[in-house]
Amino acid sequence: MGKYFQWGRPEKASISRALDEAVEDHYVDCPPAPYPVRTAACIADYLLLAILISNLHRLLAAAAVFIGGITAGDQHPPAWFISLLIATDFTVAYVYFIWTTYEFGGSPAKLILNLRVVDVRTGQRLEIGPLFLREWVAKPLGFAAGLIGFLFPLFRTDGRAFHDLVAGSTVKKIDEASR
Amino acid sequence: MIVFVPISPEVPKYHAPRLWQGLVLVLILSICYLFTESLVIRDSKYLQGVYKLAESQSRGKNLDQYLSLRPLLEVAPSRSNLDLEKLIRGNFIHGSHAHLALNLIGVFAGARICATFLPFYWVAFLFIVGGSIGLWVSILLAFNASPYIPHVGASAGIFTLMGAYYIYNFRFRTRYFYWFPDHRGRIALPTSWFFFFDVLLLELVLSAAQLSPTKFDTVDHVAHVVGFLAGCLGALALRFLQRWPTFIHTRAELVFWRSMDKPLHLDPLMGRFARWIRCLEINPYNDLIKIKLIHLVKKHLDRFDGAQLEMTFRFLTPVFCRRQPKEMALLLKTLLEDKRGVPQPWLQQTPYDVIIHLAQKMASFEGQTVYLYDFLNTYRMALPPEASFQHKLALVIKKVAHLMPHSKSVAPLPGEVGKLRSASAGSNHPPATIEKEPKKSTSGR
Repeated sequence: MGKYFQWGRPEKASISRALDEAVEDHYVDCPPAPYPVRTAACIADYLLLAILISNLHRLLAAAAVFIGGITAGDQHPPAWFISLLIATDFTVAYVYFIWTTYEFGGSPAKLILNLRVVDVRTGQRLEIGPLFLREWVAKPLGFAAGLIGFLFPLFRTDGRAFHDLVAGSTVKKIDEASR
Repeated sequence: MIVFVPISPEVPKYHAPRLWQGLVLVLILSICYLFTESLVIRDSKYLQGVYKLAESQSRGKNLDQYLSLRPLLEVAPSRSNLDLEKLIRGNFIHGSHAHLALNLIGVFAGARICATFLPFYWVAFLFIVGGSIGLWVSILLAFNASPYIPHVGASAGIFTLMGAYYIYNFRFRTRYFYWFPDHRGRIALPTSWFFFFDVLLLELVLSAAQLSPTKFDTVDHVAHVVGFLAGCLGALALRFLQRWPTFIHTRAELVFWRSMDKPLHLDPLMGRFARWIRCLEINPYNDLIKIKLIHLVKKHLDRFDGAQLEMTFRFLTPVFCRRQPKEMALLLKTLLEDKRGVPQPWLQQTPYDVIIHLAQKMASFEGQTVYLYDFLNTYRMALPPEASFQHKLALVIKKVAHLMPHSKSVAPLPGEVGKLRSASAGSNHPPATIEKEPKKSTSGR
């Protein structure tokens, strides 16, 4: 059973909050996400992100040619266009990984596969700070170390990866009721 | 569409599409390819010669003149050579083995997913008409390219079938295959947004890019988008002709619905109830009919007995509760308000997280928290005392009781008081029961 927190701040206590805590408590009790499913979600996420970014690049290139900013087939596009592409990439990556996890508890593929990224102690959704740490610091580090960070769940009973340990998070497989 | 492959609408196994419709179209396309293969090879060789000639001579000079003599233009439509016969033929011509292979997969999937809703002749009709419209519009819009480029392939027709499916299954869910080892690679997702995202969104982006002067690939994305729209319009027209009600999902339900000339019951209300129940027995996945049933029960609650309520709740599965929590919460509130018990088998079979989810929805109703408390308590009483989450549930109820305008106490289960007190003595958790014992159980309210 998860750690059930009593409401300690009377000014914020409400029935909705009590029920939210019950849901968070339920997440703490859910089993860690199985490694194959996590891998599947990871691959699907990066695939979807790659498709999204590459096609946004195409669309921006077409728009830039249309308004006359660059010429078709230009091998060396101007600096403003490259900056625009980089800014777009970062914005899309932010929205795709950080905003969705902050707002809904997981990236799109994780949500589709019924996985939730939650705080390991409380079961709450992560705040923006830990999410930045998880997605843009710990994940690249784990990747740079020859994917070792992504292999951690194979050797740990709690199924947490390197980026989970850094951000104090865990990935849970939430129950999916059958028909 | 590659990561998440749509395989069928979310229907029971006996309504799932059969294979033969897709296989017939696959066979037709394969035979047509055999007939045109020699022409396609000849065209490909001719085109290579033209490009070599163009490179050796001054660039672009007389290129259109050479292209106008392409062998494929004898049978395929292009901007310079457009007629109805060639437009229809264009759907059955493919430029290479790879082009054919990809389209065979697509046409098989397209025909298969439409088969739950449409007979084969309508599937074939939509494929040909929608595909031809897609090619035609794409040819008209290809003003940046040479007028001697033929537009061929079944993909516009495939997208027409996808568009038709999108309309027929819009308010329901689609089963996807997703290549990964979970739930045997199957997952059901809402058609309204996910199918659009999966099938059309990328095509919309690419077709916008196709209309610009820069070309990124040789795929006719405009034909795909127009084909999809043609499929949507065709399906809307067909539904109108078929007099297909919006809440009916499969053809089996439609046949049943049309056969209902005589009422199932002398009482019109019970007749309606029996009709909805029968529809759900045919297709227990139809959430729209479940909502209609809930509305009927809610409106005339005093007319339904316990057995009928139990029959209704049999179809209100945990998945439905997750997807339609508001409808469920309103039904539960009405039941508790009228002091009608919530059917015990339903409570016993519903998981804890679903109950909390419904409770969250009930908490959003202004001034109705008393029913929320009753609901949680009723659930607790229905559970066996050894259920693993009894303690958690008791704590939730205690919190809710504290926060209610007139504090209530948590009803202990028979023989539980001493157990809970001794358990709480050794832990940081507060006791599940409030000091004051309740006079009587609240479950019978």
